[in-house]
Amino acid sequence: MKEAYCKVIASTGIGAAEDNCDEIFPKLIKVVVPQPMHDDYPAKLLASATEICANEPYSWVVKKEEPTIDENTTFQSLWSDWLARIVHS
Amino acid sequence: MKTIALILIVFILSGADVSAQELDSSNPPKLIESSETIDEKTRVIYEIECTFTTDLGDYQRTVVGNPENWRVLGTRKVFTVRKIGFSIGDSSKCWLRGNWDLSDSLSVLFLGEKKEQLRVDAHEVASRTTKWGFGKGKAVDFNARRLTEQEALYAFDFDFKSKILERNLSAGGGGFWVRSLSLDLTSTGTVASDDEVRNGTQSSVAFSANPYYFVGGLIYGGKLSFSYQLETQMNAEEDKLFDVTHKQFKFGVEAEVPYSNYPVYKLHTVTGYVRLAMPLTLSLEYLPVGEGEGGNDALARLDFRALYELAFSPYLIVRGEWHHTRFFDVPAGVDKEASYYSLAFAQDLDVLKKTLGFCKLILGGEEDIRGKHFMFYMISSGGKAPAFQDVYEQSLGFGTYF
Repeated sequence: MKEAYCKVIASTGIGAAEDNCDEIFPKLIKVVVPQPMHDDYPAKLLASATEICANEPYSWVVKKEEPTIDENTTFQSLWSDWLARIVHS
Repeated sequence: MKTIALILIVFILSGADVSAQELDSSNPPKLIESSETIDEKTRVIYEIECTFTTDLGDYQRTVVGNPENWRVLGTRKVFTVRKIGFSIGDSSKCWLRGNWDLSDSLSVLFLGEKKEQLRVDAHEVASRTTKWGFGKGKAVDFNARRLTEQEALYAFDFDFKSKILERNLSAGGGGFWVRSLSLDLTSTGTVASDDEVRNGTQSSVAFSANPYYFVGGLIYGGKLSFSYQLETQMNAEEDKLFDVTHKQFKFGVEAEVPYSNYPVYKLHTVTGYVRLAMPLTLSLEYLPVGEGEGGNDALARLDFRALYELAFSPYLIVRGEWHHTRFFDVPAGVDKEASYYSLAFAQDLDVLKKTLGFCKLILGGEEDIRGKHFMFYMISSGGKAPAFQDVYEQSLGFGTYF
């Protein structure tokens, strides 16, 4: 799950080409999603989550629900309140 | 004997758990649009999301996961539950998969091990999520700046956008994804205290599609738009701040290249600062001949724009922008091309709160303002739409963007 999340985030440009989830994750989850990203970032996340999580090696079903991002949203809450809710086996 | 007693105790305890397992009537089943990929083909499926009053343990999952323990009823038909999925992050949820008739009213019945029945009214089942929405996505960015080389010139940059109408599609497959179709109202420009400044506005009503393309583990954003645009300039002779100079249709293509973020991210891991996952943004717009001032034609033109930003830390954010315009069927004596560049060096105002304690009074105490407000120094040169005044400017300013 954590690995899938890292791939989703990396695909949107944060840590592009980075392949070290253990290094990214602890730092990233504390970061508030910057305001200039609020407009189109939810759509990019859902598109990335669908592409990554619905395919091998995960093959999960992905609910079509964009995250709600406001000034208090962190990358932690995107993981626990959004991605964890929209994928299932 | 002891073994039998133990089995009985386990059975009784398990039975108690199962009997407590009830659908949450305050959170009724919803029809959910999801994506499933089989043999590399992504397809849309409609599932019924059910929420229980408590988390599902391993034993409860075996009961809940048995399709025989569910009934989905239409008005005249009982639908077969083909498969049941469980949430990876939320243990109180499960999803029912089947060939539902989406035009029918559906009722969900969980029988459970003891054949207890909890019925959810059909009208509680949510309808499809794709529908037109109104007035979403309003956003305003604003800059105020003082031009340093002039006597007393001030300029205000603004960027306003709102979706008048939006249909959220979030549909696609094979790496191609379309987020939405929308009718947007946008207005951007500079209002300054003198016509020597690059003073002008562009406002348009645009029909847009937002596609994304996923390749090589990265998502490339894009935008296709068709719009009708009004451009204004300051007319000092007639003392008009917003004199409409051009009315034209516009065809636009925009692409975002995320790979260029890699060096930015490497910096962020060191500094702990994420200003923005800013991709390299490229846009191309074609404006056919339109209506100009005094009954004249507005020249057809092609506008190209490139924008990139590097956030080294809150103390140094660098942003560069380049525009190039080519006019068509230009009369003799008029420039055929125009170019513009700007280079801005900014600091996140959050650094002031950290270094100068009294600034907390102005900047919101303990409130997190990272990435929201900036002070900047900007150099710009050349001419760009709508004014195309070939001027060199240096300015200092504050803004919610820069």
